[in-house]
Amino acid sequence: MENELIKELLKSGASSKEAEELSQLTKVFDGLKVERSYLLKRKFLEGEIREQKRFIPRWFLAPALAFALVILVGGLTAAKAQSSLPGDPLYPLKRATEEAISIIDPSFNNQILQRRSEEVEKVSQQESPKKLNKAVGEYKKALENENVSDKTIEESQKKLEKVEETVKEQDKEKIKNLIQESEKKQEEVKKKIEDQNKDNQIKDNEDLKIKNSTEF
Amino acid sequence: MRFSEDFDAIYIRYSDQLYRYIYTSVKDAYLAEDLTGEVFLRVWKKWKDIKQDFIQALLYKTAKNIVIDYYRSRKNKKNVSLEETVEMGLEPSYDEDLIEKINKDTNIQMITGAMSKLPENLKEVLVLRFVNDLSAKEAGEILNISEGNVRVLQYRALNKLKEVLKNGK
Repeated sequence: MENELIKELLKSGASSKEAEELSQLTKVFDGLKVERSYLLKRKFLEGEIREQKRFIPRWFLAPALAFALVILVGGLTAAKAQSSLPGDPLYPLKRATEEAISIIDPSFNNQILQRRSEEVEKVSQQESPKKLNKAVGEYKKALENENVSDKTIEESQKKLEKVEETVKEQDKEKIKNLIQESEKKQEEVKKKIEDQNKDNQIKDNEDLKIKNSTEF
Repeated sequence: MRFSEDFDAIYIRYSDQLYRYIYTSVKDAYLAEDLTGEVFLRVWKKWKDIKQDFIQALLYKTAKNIVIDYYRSRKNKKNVSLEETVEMGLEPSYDEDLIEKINKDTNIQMITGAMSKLPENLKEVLVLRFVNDLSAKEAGEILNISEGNVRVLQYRALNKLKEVLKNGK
């Protein structure tokens, strides 16, 4: 090994004196050539290994955690969005959630109108004309829905009337118009219900006539 | 469950080499034993897929990664993670006599201290060639360099070590 090393060092450009010297230097490593006891090695090899089967594979953990985090953050954001007002960054999320629910349950549109009237009330206290305009616009949109009952319109209207009393002079006109539109819509809904009732009555009478004539 | 016979033979043959290789990096005889065990347990986990022709190079590369993981976890002030040891439920054992000898041997302390002042690639060449007595070809396979490069590096490493030891005196 020593002679071989000297040859290698000479090939690498060392002088013969330097090669000899460096070759001698390698003796400092002798102390590091330690050997662990055979008993220790057997102990390692004969130790019982408890191979734990992971219930959830490791490759699945990272994506699963990421997904859970997205759901959690999404859920928390959606929950936070529910208290947002028109003009807030999270408001579109609130509207999207409501729309999704109203597709499954059309009667939820009543609750949406109530929420819009509450929003008008809250925004009117913030002294932000831009936000109030948005809240008024959102109320109008909710009012256009066909599934809103006349009772809900009446309740939300009462709320708007209270807002009209407390709102600043410059915004009074906006709320007044909104109440008028609300009244108009309420009339329309009532008329629609009455027409429907009339139609049903006529139909019932006709059915009764047919029934009586067949009995004779 | 125990290891297979061929794995046992590999452990008996290479574990001392890896212990020395790891010890010169971490300079802690107990930790070197823990990390050596971790190397073999990590290799055992993939034993069926391993080509045993290259086992020596694979063991050294695994050891290198484990040492890197150790320094990284220490840097992040985390506990050293002996993942496989814990997962497989092995109780660590130590050769107390040898560890005492290592800790008391001033020559060992001096040379490991001097080597730690060398760049990583030079230190690795010295350990492989002169502590573990591997051929230039074997060292080249482990370090992913040619035999010629190993020779150049060992010349540079020995000169540098000579300089460090001279300045240390």
